[in-house]
Amino acid sequence: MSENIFITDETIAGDDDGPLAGKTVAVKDNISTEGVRTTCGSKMLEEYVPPYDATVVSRLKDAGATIVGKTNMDEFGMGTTTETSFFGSTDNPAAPGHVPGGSSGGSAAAVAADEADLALGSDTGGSIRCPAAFCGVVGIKPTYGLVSRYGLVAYGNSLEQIGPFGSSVEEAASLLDVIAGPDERDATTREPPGGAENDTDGKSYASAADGDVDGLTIGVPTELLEGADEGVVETFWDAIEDLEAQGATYEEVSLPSVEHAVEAYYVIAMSEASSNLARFDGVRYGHAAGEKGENDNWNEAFSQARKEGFGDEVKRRILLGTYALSAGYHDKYYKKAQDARAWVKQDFDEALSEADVLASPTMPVPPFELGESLEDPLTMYLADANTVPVNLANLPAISVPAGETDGLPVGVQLVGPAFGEREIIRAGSALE
Amino acid sequence: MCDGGDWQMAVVQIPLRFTPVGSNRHSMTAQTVQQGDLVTVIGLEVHVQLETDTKIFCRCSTEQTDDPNENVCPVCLGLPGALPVLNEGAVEAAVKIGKAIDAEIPEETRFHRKNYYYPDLPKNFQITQYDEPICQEGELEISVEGERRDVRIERAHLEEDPGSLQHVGGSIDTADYTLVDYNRAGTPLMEIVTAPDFRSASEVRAFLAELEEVLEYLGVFDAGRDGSLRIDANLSIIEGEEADENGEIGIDALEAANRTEVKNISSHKGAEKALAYEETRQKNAIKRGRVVEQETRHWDESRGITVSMRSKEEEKDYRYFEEADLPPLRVSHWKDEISIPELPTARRERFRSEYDLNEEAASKLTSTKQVADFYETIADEFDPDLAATWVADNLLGELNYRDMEITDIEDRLEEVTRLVELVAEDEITAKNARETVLRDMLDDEQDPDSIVEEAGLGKTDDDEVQSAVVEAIEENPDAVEDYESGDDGAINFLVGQVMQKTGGSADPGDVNQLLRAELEK
Amino acid sequence: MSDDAVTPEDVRHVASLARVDLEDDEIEQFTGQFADILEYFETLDEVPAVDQDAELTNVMEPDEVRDSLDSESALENAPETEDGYFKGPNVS
Repeated sequence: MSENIFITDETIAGDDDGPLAGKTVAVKDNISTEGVRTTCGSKMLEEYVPPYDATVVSRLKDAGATIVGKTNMDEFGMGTTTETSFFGSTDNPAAPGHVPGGSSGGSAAAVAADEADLALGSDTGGSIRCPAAFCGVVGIKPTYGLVSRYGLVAYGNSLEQIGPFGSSVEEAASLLDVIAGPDERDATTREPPGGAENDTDGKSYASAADGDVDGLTIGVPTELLEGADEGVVETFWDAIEDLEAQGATYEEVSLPSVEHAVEAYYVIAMSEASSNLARFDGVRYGHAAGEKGENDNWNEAFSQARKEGFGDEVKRRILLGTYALSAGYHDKYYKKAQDARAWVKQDFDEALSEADVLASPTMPVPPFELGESLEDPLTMYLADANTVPVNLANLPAISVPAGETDGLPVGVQLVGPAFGEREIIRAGSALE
Repeated sequence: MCDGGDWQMAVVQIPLRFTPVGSNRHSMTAQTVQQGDLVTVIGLEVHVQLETDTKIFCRCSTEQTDDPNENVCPVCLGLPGALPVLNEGAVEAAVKIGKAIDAEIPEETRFHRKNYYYPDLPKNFQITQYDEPICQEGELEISVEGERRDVRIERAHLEEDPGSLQHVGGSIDTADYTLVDYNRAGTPLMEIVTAPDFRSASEVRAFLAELEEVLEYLGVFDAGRDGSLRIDANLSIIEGEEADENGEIGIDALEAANRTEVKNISSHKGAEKALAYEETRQKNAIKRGRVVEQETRHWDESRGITVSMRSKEEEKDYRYFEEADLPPLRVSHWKDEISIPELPTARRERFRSEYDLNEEAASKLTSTKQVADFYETIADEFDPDLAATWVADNLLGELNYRDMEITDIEDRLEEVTRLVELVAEDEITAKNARETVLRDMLDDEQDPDSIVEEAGLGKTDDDEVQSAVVEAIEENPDAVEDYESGDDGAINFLVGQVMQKTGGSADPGDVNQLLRAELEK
Repeated sequence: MSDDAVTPEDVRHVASLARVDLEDDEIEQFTGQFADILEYFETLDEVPAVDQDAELTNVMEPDEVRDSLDSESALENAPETEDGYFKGPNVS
């Protein structure tokens, strides 16, 4: 395994039978597995072994899946390349020498390298869709509230969802079938609201992968093509033509609010992260301060443990989030970001009242070379321009491989209405 | 900003006296504030543990255990990945409190995170409520020295209790290290914030006593539980000349005055002592021309003083923001759906009019809901006066003597009822019932009928007494002769003889009468 | 940044609020980066105020006890424990 896909290689057997019997699943290392360490790609949790399973892990076991390991990731999910991991970077099996994307880079790479049939990742601002696009596999970010977050180590808790990777849309959807559904331990989960559009008739997500896009209306938000790499844009339009050829129509739509989505996303995610990651102080679990002076009091010990346990990007986001929430700045940053979020939701609702799904390149660029991009954080943040609006709007999205540019994988993102997973699965399967 | 208890939260006018609410209340004679007068102003933040079976955000038991870290789970330990799920019972309790203090339950209320680092806080933030608390603008009527008034309650909100710390090898600032137990972490708390409406420590005590009573009536609070009530008080002294012509002190004067926050108060008695001490301390400082520091002080119960926490405290910046893991609440309609029992003040009033009780008895008989309920059962079955004597004087007196509460004999109230029945039906004397039967019941856990039978306390019937009288006269001719020759004291000897024959069960007064009647024949 | 540029003092302040000890060179590096990032965030000024209703309300569980962790598992990840307690430095 030269790619450094797994942080921990450990097989966890599931039940003898079930819909995923005989399938192997790689699990991102921020999803709690009882008795198997869960590091979040951080030195802070290098030795942390959860005493409980995340709800999705229990559901995997019940479905008969075999978990084959815990995958590498950007530290606490904070990154777009998997290079911020304390356990080193992961090579991209589909484009060696390049990053696999992030933050769920190990999970996407596991499927691309055939180390696992399926994988679970988490997506706070694109962390499933970006690596799916970069590694040439399928990844689904579910509607906020469809999949339980219980046991997912929080980064931006109002934004993130656990979701599946697969080598085909149907495979990924079959994993979604197993993990979706309300959980009494996550108060933000719910049954998909009723209505004809979301009428499930007990049909599985996997069965929606029927490739039938005849009559489908696709909206293309012009803002999400601006500034994208030329080769990526070309590959994207080829994919749209392909769908047109199968009976779909497309129209350009406008989402003026997305101009502010990246700022809003980072302010909200960093603010939440500053609070979510406060619990790591070395008392109950996690890295404790190495050198303790005689006069050390609690504050000094905490600060020391966090200095030693967190990497640069995590510190950067915790400090910026603390700043954005602090007295005198809360209204200017955090509150305005909430306004922007509400605005983005409105825009998407309007666009999705005209079109069945929205389409864009998943990432505006092809995969970076390993080591290319660590220096300038702001440039990296801007690479998330197409994925973060979907998290702000709580909507479902899928990234499906659409071809290559200069030999590097390109993904197309399809966004659906809330709980409209079947729509995007159907449209996505038509691209295969 | 609304960091609970800050004066900013106070309404614009801070009355120097309580504002009477409603026309039928007594109003205090307006105090004329003189130049040079020093006026004490106190506001409270009261933390009350709600009596639920499980914690507020997980379903761990709230029961107190012998060992540390027994009732903990991923949620209340703040393990990575755990999520809070709100306890419906805690919300119901909060709505009951809101109803009892006549507070507004807003259309929508939600939870926020209060971010600060402290080792008793498993997540290093506390889930609490900020600008949309579940109870807003209520009031509680209290009675101080016969005057009844309303104390304004600005807000009451739900939050989670932190864990508990033990400082090993010294006090809080000299300890070598700290041990942490998270059993308490996540116990539901209601923080009740009053307006700065108190003008003395005794008013504070009266308020807290009333509040405890109300909460116990609601069944949401267990006063007997260690640490179930914790009080922080803000106290400042305002110079009389700051008052306006109506004797009222404006918010500006209040904000301008330095105040101390007194922490670590855990009972209404402690509050009175702590605040009386702090009031004197500040007044003395002002009289000596010294400036009162704005600071946090710690009430040291054993030494009976407040101690400066040496304001090494960092600047407070709690970075409140919404807790996205908990969807908002829309429970204002619960106020109409959830019923609460008649509250102590109303019940006291009713006892006075319905049972013709005096204020002292009415107050004693409504001190807890169990006492009041028991009184009403007895009063309705027998006689209100007899019931008052038996419950307020005899039963509560004997319980108090034994350091017991009515709740300690909850399952024996039927036996007490039976005892009162024996008295009401004249089967035993009141004296025997009180001094022998009740005491034996409490000390030996026997039922009243067996005690009466074993001790032979049943009132003897009249025939038996009559024949004993006749016998005594026949057997003691000398005494009869003495009586007849004018020695009235001889009758006492005869009474003693009759009492002996009846085993003490006859009433000596009755015997005296019967003897005289027999001798006159 | 325009009127209120980020200073090393600001970085120290938030680092102390967030309990992250920083080296001097980290403070210098973060000061520069924060200036760029916060300037970018300031474009949020242009966003109009937008209201939204909660999608989900009143999610609660009945007040019924479920099993807790056994205290051994509760403590097993703690760097230091003593007699069933978590152990840490003093609080002064």
